[in-house]
Amino acid sequence: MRAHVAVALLRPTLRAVPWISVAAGALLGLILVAVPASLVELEPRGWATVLRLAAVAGAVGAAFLLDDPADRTTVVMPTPRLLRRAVRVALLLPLLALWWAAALLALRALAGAAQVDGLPLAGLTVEAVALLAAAIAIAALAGGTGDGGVTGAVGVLAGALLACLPPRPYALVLEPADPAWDGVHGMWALVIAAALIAFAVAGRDPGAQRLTHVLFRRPPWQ
Amino acid sequence: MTATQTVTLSDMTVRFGRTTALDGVSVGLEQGVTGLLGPNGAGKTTLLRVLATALAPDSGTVRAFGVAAGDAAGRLALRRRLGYAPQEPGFHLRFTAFEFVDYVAILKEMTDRRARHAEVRRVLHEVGLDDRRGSRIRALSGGMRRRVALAAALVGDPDLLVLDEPTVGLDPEQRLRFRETIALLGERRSVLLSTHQTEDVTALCARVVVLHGGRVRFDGDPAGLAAVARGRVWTSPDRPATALASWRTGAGVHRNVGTAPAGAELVEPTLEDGYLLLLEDAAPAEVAA
Amino acid sequence: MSTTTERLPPGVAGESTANRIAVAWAVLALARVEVVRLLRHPAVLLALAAMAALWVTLRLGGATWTRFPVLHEQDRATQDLALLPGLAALVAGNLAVLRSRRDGTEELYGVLLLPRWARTGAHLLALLPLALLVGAAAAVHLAALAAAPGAVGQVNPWEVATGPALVLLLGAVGVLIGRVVPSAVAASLAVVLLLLAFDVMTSPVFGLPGRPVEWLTLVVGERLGQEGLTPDLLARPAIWHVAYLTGLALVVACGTLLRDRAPRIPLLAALVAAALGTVTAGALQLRPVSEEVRAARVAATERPSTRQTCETAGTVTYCTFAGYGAWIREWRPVVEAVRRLLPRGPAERPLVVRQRMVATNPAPEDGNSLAVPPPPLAAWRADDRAAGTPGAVTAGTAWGSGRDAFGLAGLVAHRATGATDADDVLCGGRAIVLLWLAARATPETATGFVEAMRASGGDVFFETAPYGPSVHVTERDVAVVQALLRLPTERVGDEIRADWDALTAAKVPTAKVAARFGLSAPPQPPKAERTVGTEGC
Repeated sequence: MRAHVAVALLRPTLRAVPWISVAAGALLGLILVAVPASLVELEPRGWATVLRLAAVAGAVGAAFLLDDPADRTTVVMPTPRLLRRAVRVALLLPLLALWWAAALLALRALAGAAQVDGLPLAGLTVEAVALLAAAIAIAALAGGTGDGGVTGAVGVLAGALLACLPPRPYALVLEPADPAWDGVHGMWALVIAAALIAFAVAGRDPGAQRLTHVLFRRPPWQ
Repeated sequence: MTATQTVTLSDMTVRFGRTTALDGVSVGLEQGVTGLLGPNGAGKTTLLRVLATALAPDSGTVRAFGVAAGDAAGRLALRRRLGYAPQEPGFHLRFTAFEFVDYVAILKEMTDRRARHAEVRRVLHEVGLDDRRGSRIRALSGGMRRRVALAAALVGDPDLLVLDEPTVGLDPEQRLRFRETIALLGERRSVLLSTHQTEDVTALCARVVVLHGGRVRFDGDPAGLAAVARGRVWTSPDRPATALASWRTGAGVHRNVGTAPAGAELVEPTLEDGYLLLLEDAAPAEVAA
Repeated sequence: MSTTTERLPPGVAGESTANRIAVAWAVLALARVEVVRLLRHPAVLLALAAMAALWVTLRLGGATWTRFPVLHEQDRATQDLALLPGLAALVAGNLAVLRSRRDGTEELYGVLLLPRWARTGAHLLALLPLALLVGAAAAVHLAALAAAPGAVGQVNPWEVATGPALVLLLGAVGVLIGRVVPSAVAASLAVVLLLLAFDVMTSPVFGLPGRPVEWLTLVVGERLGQEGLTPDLLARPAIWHVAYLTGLALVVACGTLLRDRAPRIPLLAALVAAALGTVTAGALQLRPVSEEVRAARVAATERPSTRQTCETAGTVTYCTFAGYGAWIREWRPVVEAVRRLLPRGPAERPLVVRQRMVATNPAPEDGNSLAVPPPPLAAWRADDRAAGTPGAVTAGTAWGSGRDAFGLAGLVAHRATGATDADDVLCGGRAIVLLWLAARATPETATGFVEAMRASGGDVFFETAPYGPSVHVTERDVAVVQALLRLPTERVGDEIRADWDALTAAKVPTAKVAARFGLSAPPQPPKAERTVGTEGC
């Protein structure tokens, strides 16, 4: 039954998602890659920075994916909220993969294979996925109605900036040539896992188990 | 739980931090329309949300159609037979009325397209939005949007309807139509609607529950509520000092509610009078408590 | 865009002064509300907390720059962190402006008496307290630094003012974006763009750093080759940069207000004035460094004695640039500790410690490779002779780490053992004695010795002049020194003092020195791998 519902939801969800915000982020990400790639030559760490900024732009747009003004009405449907959100994410995932691939291909095409081949693209992709997952998870936790997207966007921006701050031993954002590259990307994978867990927790039935419910909502005034 | 009760809330307590929204409320719903009255902050919306499984109580049980709604399976069973229109409905403004109700129908697990479309058309016809079903919700007025929300609640023919202030923003004609629809629905289903409009209660409801300060103050039929004010409503040429409420009617005399002096001209009390006096009687108890 | 008419009926509109005053009061009242909301916004709180946390943890961690801060470098450093609350102000200001659109109150506000531009003005005014807060935080931070006993230099208040100006500018941009683009995603994307722009502008690849054009960007860092300058030689156009940023903020603010149909004439005048001011300040900050400063830099580099004051303590004279006198207190223990380990003759020889720097003017048009020219050793020798202090030991304009202490100790020992400036590789007795003296002097120098070993994988290099040639001691001799350090200090010290001349003669073989103390020297590396200059050791 749930599978049928999920399939039937695809078309209306496609129309309900605020695609403009998502697309704006993705478009900016592509521009952030394409413009430097066609104009200048950079070292590997320069390209790493460019790709990371593009990933942040994409994540900022993706945070608005879960915005659902009808959340109040649809929260008590037999179809759980987690399924509705999962359908949205499922719609987004292939598009995101295409977008990231397009960004990498554009980089390769415009900047030349020589500059790109040395880059640790796997690690950078892990970071991009982590940023996207974090943005969507924060948006999910913040609630579906209107503030979720903004909170997710600002949250992932703040998170990305803060991730650059810690000094050497705790640094999360490294240059490509750094020997600790692989170890740090274990941390990034943990971020992805944490985001997935947060997403699942945020999609919980509000009719079940009050305590966390109280933390995130104000009492309604009659 | 009596044999005719379809939905029962027992000993429902809901707290938000230090505020107690509902305090040991027990209500049983039967077939027919039940009205929920109460001042702002009395707990009406909280009660409705608990009933609609949008909110979990701190203690108490909800039993609906023979199943306890405390666990996930019970909630699911209840939601399959539930229609809920919240106080502030949210919409996808770009959707047309038809598309939005169709979307809600999918969420109610109606996966057969043809049957679903027919059902959507049916409920839109019931709320009187036939000719506007192709309009985007953004273009509809507030009253029409409420009707869309009502249609969304009605889709799937639920056995339990929970409506939070459904007549806000409706003009008198729309409100009449609404009463028609709800009365018809009440013949076979349980409907619980909260409202500030006591005329709706008088016109529609077989039963009325008054909530105040998170507790049930009255649970009976409208006539009984009006009877609370028997002997305490009178008319006088001038405004008396002892009246709780007093106003000059269109006929030129003052209609007063409160402790009537001896020999006053008593009049037949209305539901509003009973409601007012009920709350007033409860108030000193509140102060003492 | 609001569809309600903004024009009030004539007679009620802003013609009367009383009405204008009423509007002004209303704007102030609204601004007060917006200030509270802005300062409470999670992004702003997070940014301020991150700023504070960074400063506090670095202090607690005892970073060098907190114990021996160079104030005219630290004031500039506050600008980098000010970017955080600046970006937060952009986002928070933007969201505040969008609030009425998101919550659907724009239509209500549109028909109230206070016009839209006044509401925008309130949003803009609300940025001022945040900017002041950022400035105050920076001032407190610098005051705490200046209170440290090892603080030198002076604070340029205009550098401190750059942070708040930045917050104003970014916040104003956020408000503008909010009025122009109704979507909440725009501000976040603008932040990403700004981050890219910032990165582009500070990266050496794009050739900006070092060129005057750099001053058109937001934050200008320390240029390569210009660390360690005295405040009078820095010549950073800080005041013009603050004026430039503030002018930009005003231009953005006036533009936004005009777009919201504020009273044309006064605001257009303000906009033009602000634009003129911005362009003027912007141009002024692009001026090349004046000839006077250039000459002063050359003089300070080549003839430091002409700009220094000297202080004598016993047989040691310390000469520092103005404002750096506090460090004499730090140098003395190191120098005297080394001298205590020397035999009587060298210990009583007069010594001069002279602070020197290389204050080059960066090569024009060569943004990418800001090569610092080598220090003018010949000029320094001439300068020493002219000042009557031949053979002065060089001290730098940075201090605090173990390596700095070790470097100073090493140079004092270097002078005492009779090594000359021409030797870039030392080996044998001279090297071992020198290193032992330097490492033994104080606990800080011992730490510095370990750090120096770690930094070069077993060898030790220490600079004889800032950006200048280093003395290199190979691993073999370093190993002997390490073994010596494990022996009791008294014994080694006495024996070194006893055999001073023999041990510090040129080309005393390492093996001989080691055997003297009952140690075994590690074997010599094969001929092909031997460092040039270590023959005979």
